[in-house]
Amino acid sequence: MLGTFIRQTLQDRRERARRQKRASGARTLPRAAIVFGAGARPGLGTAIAERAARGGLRVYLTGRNRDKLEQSVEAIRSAGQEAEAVVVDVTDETQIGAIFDRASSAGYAVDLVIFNVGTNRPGGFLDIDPGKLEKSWRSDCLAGFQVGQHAVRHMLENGRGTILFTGASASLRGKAGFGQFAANKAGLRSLSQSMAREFGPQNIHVAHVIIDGIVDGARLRSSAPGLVEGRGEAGALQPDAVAEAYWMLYRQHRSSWSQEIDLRPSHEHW
Amino acid sequence: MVIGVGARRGIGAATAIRAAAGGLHVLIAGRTQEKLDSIVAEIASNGGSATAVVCDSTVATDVDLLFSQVGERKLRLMLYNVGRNIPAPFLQNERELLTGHWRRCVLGATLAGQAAVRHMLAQEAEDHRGTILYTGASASLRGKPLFAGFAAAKAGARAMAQSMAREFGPQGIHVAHVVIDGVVDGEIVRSGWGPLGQLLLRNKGEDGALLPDEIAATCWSLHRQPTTAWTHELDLRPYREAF
Repeated sequence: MLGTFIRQTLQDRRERARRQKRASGARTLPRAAIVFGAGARPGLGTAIAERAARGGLRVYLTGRNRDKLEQSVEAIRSAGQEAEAVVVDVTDETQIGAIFDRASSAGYAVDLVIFNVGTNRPGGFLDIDPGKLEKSWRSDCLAGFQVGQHAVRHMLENGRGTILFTGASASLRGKAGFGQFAANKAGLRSLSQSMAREFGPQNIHVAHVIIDGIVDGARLRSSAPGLVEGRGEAGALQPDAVAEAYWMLYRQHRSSWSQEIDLRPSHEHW
Repeated sequence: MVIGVGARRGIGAATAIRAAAGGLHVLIAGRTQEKLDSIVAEIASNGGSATAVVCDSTVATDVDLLFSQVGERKLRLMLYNVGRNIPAPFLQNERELLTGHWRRCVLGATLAGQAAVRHMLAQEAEDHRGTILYTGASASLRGKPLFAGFAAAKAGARAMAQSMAREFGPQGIHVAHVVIDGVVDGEIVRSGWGPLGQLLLRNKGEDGALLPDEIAATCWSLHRQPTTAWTHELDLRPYREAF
């Protein structure tokens, strides 16, 4: 048993040395960000992508709808920054891997990954359909693991990186009618904590952002007309304001990293 | 205004300097006149302005006197950064020690919070009247052995801050709680703890302890948040901290 332990320790040490050697060469690469779940504009994913592009990163916007992605990319390019749209189904792991390969082969180090996938479909507990439950778990939670694994592998090569997960009030507690969403979100939050503890010491910053309120974006404005307007000023989160918080997390010095922050409008009851 | 300012290399001083760089006149409150004066001088030499106020934040009259110095200015930001994590075995938590923790963490936070809220509410109504920040610790969230008294007081301060945030957010006052989970690379550890502190910092390695200026940068970001996305609580720890 001691022999195994020593062999394992030596192997780990060699692996670390190899990584450090690779990392020292990779530091000069230009940096890129990948946003998973960049849908409509205005929206959270696209706002974060725009903020990262403004900060000098080349941004890969990924989502399911090509038209929406192209529109967002066009907006970033017209501001003179770099962006690319890639249709990605996060429930297909090969597509997740492909986007990291694409950035690598273009000569970029992916320094920021945003996992902003999640669908809140409320319904009574007894009406939860196992098939739909599994489908939502695959995209909202399992995909977080797989994006996280690809991101960590890529970032270890570069010796640094930041991975940010979008959470919700449901990450912390299950309200009546939100069992499915809360279970997925709680899982994602635990994942982010576990990753932060494992990879922080390897210079990878993993953080979880709890969005506690409604986001004033295209998604909500079309699915629930009048809801945002009814809340009045500062009654809903503005995507650009939220994106600023993500950017702050990305810019934090490693002596003082946040693992979790909450965000809500000043008028929110909580 | 920053309450709980000691040496230059500390959270209070770093935040005061950051706020002054952001264009605010800063009232710097602490117990030691000389320390406060040197920070005021540093701010002045950088082109900012500040006033030193010696103050015991656990005494209501001191707090009133401090807030009277705001004068005609608008109070935009208050950081309450008072507390001492003195370890003691549970059975040796004497009444005096417990009372001290409670006075610094809960009573002082409440007195300063009330004064700040009154000031801010009296100011002309705005979407964002002002920001009130509290520094918390890992002990705000859980009680480790030897820290029963400190943890109970810090947990109390956290609950107070949460309650304030819920009450005054809709009135334009942003209340946030910053959980500092790790050793701060400041004067307290560097010289206050003697050789033990230096050994501790060496063991932590580069960036293994929180740098006061970086904590201050995050505090300033919180103050600058737009009203549609306010943070009430965040944690801060060094990248290699086990937690």
